[in-house]
Amino acid sequence: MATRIAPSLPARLSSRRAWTTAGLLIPAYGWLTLAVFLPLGAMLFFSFLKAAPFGDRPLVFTFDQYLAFFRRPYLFDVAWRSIELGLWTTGLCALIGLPAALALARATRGRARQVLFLLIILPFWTNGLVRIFSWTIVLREGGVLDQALHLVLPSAPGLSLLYSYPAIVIGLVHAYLPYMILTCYLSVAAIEDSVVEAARSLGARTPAIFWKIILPLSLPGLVSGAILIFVPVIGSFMEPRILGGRIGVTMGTVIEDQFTQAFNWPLGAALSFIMLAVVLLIFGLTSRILPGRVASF
Amino acid sequence: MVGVDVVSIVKDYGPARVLDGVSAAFEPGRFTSLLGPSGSGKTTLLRIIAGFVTPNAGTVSFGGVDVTGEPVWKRNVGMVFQSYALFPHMSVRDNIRFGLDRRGVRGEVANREVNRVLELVHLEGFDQRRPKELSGGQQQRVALARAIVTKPRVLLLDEPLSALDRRLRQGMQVELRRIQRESGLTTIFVTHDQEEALTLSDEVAILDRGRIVQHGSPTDIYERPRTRFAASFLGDANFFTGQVNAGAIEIGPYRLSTQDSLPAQGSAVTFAVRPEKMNFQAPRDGARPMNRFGATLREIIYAGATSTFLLADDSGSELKVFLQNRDMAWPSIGARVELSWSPSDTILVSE
Repeated sequence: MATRIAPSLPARLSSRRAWTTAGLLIPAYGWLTLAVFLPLGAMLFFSFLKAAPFGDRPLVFTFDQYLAFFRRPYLFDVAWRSIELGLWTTGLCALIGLPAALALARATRGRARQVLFLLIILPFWTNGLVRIFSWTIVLREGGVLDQALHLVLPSAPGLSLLYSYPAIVIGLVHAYLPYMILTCYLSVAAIEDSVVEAARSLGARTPAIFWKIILPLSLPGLVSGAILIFVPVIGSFMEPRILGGRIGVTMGTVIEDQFTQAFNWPLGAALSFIMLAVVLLIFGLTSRILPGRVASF
Repeated sequence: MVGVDVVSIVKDYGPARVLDGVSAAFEPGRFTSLLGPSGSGKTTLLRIIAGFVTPNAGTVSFGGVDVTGEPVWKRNVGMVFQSYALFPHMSVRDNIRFGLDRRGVRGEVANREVNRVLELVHLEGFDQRRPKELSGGQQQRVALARAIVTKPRVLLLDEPLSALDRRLRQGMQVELRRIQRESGLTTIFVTHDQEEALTLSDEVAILDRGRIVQHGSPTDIYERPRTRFAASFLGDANFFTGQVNAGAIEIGPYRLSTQDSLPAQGSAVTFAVRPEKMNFQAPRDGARPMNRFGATLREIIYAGATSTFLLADDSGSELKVFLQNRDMAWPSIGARVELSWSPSDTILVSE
């Protein structure tokens, strides 16, 4: 009897384990399916319509919305400007974030480190709109920055950054910098002290240690930070609208306009999918340029 | 080849004094082990020689030239770390070439040097692998190759074998010694493994609480320990305390002689006897007078080739004897026995 039960026992255990795993995963994936694919599917459906199906307008299918992008050359400018905004913001975040992560990981400890981390995470806890409007107070003519400048240099011309490209970048960098610091911190903290010491004992001075050791080993953090920042930035609309004013026309604001102002949902949906395609294309290309290096250690 | 001298090195971490006036000379081309328990300051001393730590006082010199204020990258030392510290994003070849590159040695010359050390550590054909594709022993050898390819003035090893398993470690000990002899590098090796220190080194320096308590050849240190700490840290030792009386040491009814010079009449002395120097029966011929001491046999631990005997003397303190299992005519447990050993194995130690 025992020999007949024994072989089936592991099988029963493993099938029970499979059910447990499924039971634990189904709520998350079920929710993700509902929350991502249903709306996305609806949007895809809209993007092939001639007009939003409100009231009793008939459903007319067309590819026109996708062609509209190519028929309106200014949209190319807008798309490029959005990508440029993404590059500036990501680049500045990397430039500020990596040194901060280095300092946090290598020079602080205990309570000081906890407090510094809290300060980094603080922007996450403030409402986005509040954060952006507080920047308008700082950046406008006669604002905090302007007054501070005149305190030091009374003869300087009036300084107004509000409604300019730099203002958008400042707002976006402020919002997304924490991602870069946190992802870089994870990479930098994993670098053993002895690896740096080994480089030093082999004759490397600080610049060589940074370029040959620290930077390559921080690359995974920089890349994941860049992905986390670049995608939402090129779709952002609050910062461009509030801090950029008339200048702040980006893919994000154009798409938002289609939904909230023009009620041209099909065009907005089509533009969203074009943007998604562009983002995927960019990541496809960059993952070719960084071949396996990021994943290999 | 240059020697390394450290003179009166003092290092404090906050209120704790880690090194307390350490002076030592590391002769050119010699292999010296710094041996001590954790917290004895041996690693700190090595890091001071490397230049990672600045001493509060004292000097470090290479070949007679003071390098105390010189930064690490200028000192031209080769260092092997306990964790190997290989650069994970570089191939074996690039790891080894790193130091050459920093010295402006590039191209064919660098390649030739890399091939030379790869051959020395028996890793030809592994040069394109990443560190994580290598076993622990292979990583160890890459770390060693990387440290010696630049022909450093001194090779510093920070417990490099402690992460390897026993068999691999013994193999690497032989390799390490061969590579050190072939390269002729002045080598300083930090370890807490006494056996490793004895087998590998030309010289051993024993550290205790921030001081070097004894520095000499392995046989010298093992056969003639100067302090109770040195005797008990390196190997096993039986300790006896008695009083000097008429050229011998008196403990109760026993009079024990030594070849070491004794202090003044009536003063208390401590001496050590290695367990393998003792025996149960004194040689019958009596050519040399032997020291004799009574004890009770408590336990026998049989270990194939040898046995360990635990005994208690009249005051109850424990004694240990190691004997080879040549004839097995041992006394039985609980029996009263007489231990004997030569006066030349009776080593006076200070507390």
